[in-house]
Amino acid sequence: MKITDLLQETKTSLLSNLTRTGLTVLGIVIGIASVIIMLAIGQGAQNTISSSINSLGSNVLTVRPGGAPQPGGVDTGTSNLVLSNDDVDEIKKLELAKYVAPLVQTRSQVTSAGKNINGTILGVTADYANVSNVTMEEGGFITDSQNRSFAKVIVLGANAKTNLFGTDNAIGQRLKIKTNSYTVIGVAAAKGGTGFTSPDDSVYIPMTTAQQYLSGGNSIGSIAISAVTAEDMTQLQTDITDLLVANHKIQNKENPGFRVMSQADLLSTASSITTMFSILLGSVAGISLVVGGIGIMNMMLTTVRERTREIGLRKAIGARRADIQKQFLIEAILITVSGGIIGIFLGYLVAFGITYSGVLTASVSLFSVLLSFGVSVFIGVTFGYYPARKAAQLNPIDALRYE
Amino acid sequence: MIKLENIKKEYVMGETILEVLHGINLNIKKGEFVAIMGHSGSGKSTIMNILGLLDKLTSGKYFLEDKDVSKIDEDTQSHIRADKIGFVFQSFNLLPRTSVLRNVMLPLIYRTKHLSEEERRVKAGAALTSAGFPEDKWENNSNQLSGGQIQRVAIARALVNDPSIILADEPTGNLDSKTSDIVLKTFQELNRNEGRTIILITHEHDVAKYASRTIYIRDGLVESEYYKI
Repeated sequence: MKITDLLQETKTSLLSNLTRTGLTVLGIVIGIASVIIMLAIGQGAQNTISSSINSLGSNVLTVRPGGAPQPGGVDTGTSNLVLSNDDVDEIKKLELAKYVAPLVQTRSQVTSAGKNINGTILGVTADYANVSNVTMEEGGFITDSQNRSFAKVIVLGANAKTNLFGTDNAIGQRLKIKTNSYTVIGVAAAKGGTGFTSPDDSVYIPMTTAQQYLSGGNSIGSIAISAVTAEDMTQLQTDITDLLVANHKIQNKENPGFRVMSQADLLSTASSITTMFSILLGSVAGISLVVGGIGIMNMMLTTVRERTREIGLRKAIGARRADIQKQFLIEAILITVSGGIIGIFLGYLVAFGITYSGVLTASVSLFSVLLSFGVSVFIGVTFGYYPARKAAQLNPIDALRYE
Repeated sequence: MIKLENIKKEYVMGETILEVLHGINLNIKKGEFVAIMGHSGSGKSTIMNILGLLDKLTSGKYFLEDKDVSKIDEDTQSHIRADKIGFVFQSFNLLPRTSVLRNVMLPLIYRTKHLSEEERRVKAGAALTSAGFPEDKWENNSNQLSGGQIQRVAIARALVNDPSIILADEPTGNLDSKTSDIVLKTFQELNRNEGRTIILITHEHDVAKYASRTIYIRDGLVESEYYKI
C-alpha cells in the first residue's frame, strides 16, 4: 500500500466526521498554544530582566528591596524594605559612591499625535545617564533641576523616537502619558540590547515626576550606584549594606529585606528565577497537552469501534495488519500535527497580543516552536498507537459481523 | 482450481473443543457457479471463511490454483485475498459517505501490484459496467442508493481486482425477492458471459437454484450434491 493511498484514506475518514475531528484538533491546539504562550512569557521575562541588567554600566551595584534568595527558592516572609528618597541622599554621601541613580520604572502607553507606543517609562535623575552610559543623539538628558521642579519633560530612546516621530524632528514636540502632557527635550543614542524592553524602546522622565503622576508615593524601585573603581565594589557593597541596616534600624542582618548586588549577581539570580518560572508555566501548559492527547486516544478508540465493520472489510479485501495500523496511526498523527501547527500560530498571535497590550512581554523562541511541534508528533504516535494496534488486531470474520 | 482435501476445523472454547468441519472434500473447477447450501450451524460459513482465507484450517489441505495455501502466514493470506479473491457480503459493507467509484476502487489500493489512479478508475468503471450498475450514479454516495444498487456496487467491488474466485456470503439475505432476482441474475451473467468462478453461500433453495451446481453441507460434512442440467 502506497503512502499516497494511505493519506487519501486518512483524509476521507477524517473529513467524514468533521465535528469530532475538529474538536479533537481543538484540544491539541489549546495544549500547544498554551505551551507556546507560557514559554514565551517565561522567555520574555528573562529577556526583560537580562536586558535591563545589561543596560547598566560596569562597576555598578544595584540596591533592590526583597529578601536574599533562599535555597529552594522559599520566601522566608521577612518584610521588604521600602527604598525612599532619603536612602538615595544617604548613599550619595558615601565616599566610594561615584554616581547614585535611583530608578522608578513603570509601563504605560505613550501617545503622540496619531501614534502610540507601549514603552517602559524610567523615572530617573541626571546621574542615571552616567551610571547606565546613556549618550545623547540630540538635546539633553533629564537634569536635577527638572527633578526638583517635577518638570513634565521626556527623553526618548532611539527606537521610541523612530516609532513615534519617524525621521521628523522630535525636540519640542509634546507627548501624552496617561492624562499629562510632556515636552520632548532629548533623544538618546541607540544603545543596542535584546528583548522587548531594550533601553532603546524606553523613555525617560524625571524621577520625581514619575513618583508624582505615575507610580504614586515616594517609593523607589531600585538604586544603581557606580563605584569609583572596580576594586572598590566589594567595600562599597558592605558600606551600603551597613548604611541601610543602620538607617532603617534592621535587626535581622542575615535577611535585611533588601539586596545589594553586582551585575553578575543580578544576572545569575534573575536567570535562576526565570528558569524556574518557565518550568512552572511550561508544566502547567504541558498538562493541558496531555489532556489533549487523551482526547485523541478517546476519539481514536471510538472511531475504531465505530468502524469495526469497515476494518473487517478492508482486511477481507486484502489489507494487512500493518496497513490498518498505519492508517489509524497516521490519522492520529495528522490530527496532532495539524493541531500543533494551528496551536503554534495561535500561541504566536496571543504572545504578540500580550506584548502589544503592554501588560507583559512575551517572546516566542524557535526552541519552543520546535519543542511543541515535536511534542505534538510524539503525542500523536503515543496516544494513537494503542487504538491503531487494536484496530489492526481485529479478526476480519468477527469484525465483519460486528453490529 | 479449488481443491479441499479432508478439511477439518475446530474451535477451542475454554475447555471444550468444538469441531465444526469433520473432513470436507471438494473440487471446484474454473468457471463453475457453485452454491454451498446448508442450515445455520451446518458449517457452510466456516467453509466460506476457509475458502476466502479469512480463517485457518485445523487439518487437511487447501489448494488454490494448484498451490497449497493450507499453511501460510497472515500477511500472505492478505496478499492472496487482495489479488485472487472477491467478496460479496450479506450486509454489503460499503464505506459510508464515499462515492460508488471510490468504494469499487478500494480493493485496488491493497493489491501487491501498484496501479495509477487512472488505471484504477478504468478498472472500477469496467467492474461497475459488468455488474450492471448505471454509469450516471458512479459519483453518488453509497448511502444514496437502493438495496439492489448497493449490492451491485458490492459485486463490482468484488470484480475489480479480476479475482480467481468470487465468494458471495448470503448476498441476497437483506434484499426483497425482486431485487434478489436481479442480483442473482447478475451473478449468472458474470458466470456465463465472463466465465467467472462464483461460490455462493446460502440457506435458501430459491437462491441456490441459480447456480449450476449445488453442494449440501450438513453437520460439517458434504451430504450430497447435484448438477443442474
